Amino acid sequence: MSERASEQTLTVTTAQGLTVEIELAQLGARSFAFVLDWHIRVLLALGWFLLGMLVIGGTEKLRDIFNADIDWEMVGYWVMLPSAAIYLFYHPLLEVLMHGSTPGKRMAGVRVVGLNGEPAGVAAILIRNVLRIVDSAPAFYAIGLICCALNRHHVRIGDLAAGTLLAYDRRVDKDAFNLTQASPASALSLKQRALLLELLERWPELSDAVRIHAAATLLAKLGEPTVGAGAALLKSRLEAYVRG
Amino acid sequence: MLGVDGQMRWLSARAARWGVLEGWLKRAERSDSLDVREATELNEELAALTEDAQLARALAPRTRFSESLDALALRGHRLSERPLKRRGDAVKTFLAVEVPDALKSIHGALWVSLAIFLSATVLSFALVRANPELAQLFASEEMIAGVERGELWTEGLLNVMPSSILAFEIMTNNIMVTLVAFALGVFYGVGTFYILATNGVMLGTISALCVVHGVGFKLLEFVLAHGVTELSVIVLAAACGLAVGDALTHPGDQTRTAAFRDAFRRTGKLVLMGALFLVLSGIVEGYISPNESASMLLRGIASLSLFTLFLLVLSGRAFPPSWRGLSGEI
Repeated sequence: MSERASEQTLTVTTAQGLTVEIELAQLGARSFAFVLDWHIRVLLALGWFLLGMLVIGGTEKLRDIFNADIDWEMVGYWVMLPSAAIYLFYHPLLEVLMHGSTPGKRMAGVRVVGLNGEPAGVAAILIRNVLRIVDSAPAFYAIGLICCALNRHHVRIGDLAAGTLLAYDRRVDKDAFNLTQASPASALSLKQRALLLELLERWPELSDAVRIHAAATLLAKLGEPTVGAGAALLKSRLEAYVRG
Repeated sequence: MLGVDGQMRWLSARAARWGVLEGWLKRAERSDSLDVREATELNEELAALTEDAQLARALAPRTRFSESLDALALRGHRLSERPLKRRGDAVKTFLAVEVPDALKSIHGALWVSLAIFLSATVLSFALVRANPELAQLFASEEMIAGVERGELWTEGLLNVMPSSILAFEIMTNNIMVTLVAFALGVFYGVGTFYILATNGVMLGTISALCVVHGVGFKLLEFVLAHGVTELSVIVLAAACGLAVGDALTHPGDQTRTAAFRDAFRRTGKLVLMGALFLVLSGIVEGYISPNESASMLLRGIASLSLFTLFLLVLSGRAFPPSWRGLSGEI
């Protein structure tokens, strides 16, 4: 498997000749995923802490947490330890279990992948998480953000060390295999889409009259009124359909 | 050649196969190995799927349909190209080959790390012994006041919190120091140097302070059981950090990024093993070190056993020689 990463995409060519482009996530998607994950892990850790304290001794115990006469054995084992573990191991554990993803990354539609496009391995995930120590310094992931902004693959130091990238997740969508269904992304069936692409491909060879007729017919089938529209406007509407 | 309609009909006819292949890949990904028949079947299916994916991309680029087919094909190709490994063998190879090899590769950095740590310790020890007031620079007033009264800050720790919590706190702190010493190697090794030197200075300062106020033996008694292994792990992690720094400053024939990645991956294995030993030494520090009923002999035996195990594991001698012959691949 060979791979080549440009600024926006990672191109993977397998030994059997399949070439696939994987789109790399940039600063926005990365930050969005992190913010989501940060809130999830803080809420989980805090939720466990509050629940644990309430279960152990009610609201009175919750007040006692700031006093010295606390039952360390009980609170330590059942409340503080799991809360700290949730906060600290959220990223490494979930990235290993979810093959480079976390709930936040999933919501943002991204995933950690290796330089060959495969989901990152355990060693790579551990390395990128250890280096959060550096990336998160001095505060608010300043070093990591600066590194992402300056780096052409938009990765932080942890990713550079681990040999990982953050890519948009491309999952196998079984519904998409149903060729009789219209694609929800563009409201076009694959057949309509193929016709549309063919029309746009031949656009330069056609006269304006043919362009308007063909485009108007196609758009009318898609439920788009086209009365009086010029060739240029019709073309831009067709292109908008292609983009989905 | 088929027209658009013909190509769509072809893909429609093939669609049922993709669902079957997806389920089949799921099963294959979970198993460690494929037999010859399964591997042949997978290759045949993948060749057909590759053609389907290319056709789909030409007919409907950047659609859920073509991207799903690409994703399925890529998944299949990864499976067919991945070296088939037995998980048990991979662990054995890691312990018996990769960790000892990584240790050999940082031989020079290990000596440099040890030299920095010892120099900082000896120098600060000598300075504080000659001028005890210098201890204020590196130790808290509370600690100094306690030592001046002839008490160690460790005394009575067991009365404050249980051994288990104490051990956990200690091991968490030590693992953090180790990880920081390693990770700061990304600043061309300078960050690691500061962490190492600071730890050496603190050890030297506190030791000198204890000696000056007549509690040197008490300190030795406390640190004997866990200290040797704990400090060795910190020196080892710092050596790994220095090796990362060295890879960044002297990348050789590789690009700086590639050299950095290689160094981090190689030395990270040692840090992982070191962290496991910090868990063990944290247990010793929580249960044995503050326990006043533990004799010096017991502390010495614990220290020697832990350190010997540490050396045997890192050098790969703790494992049978047969483990070294395994590549991990079938």
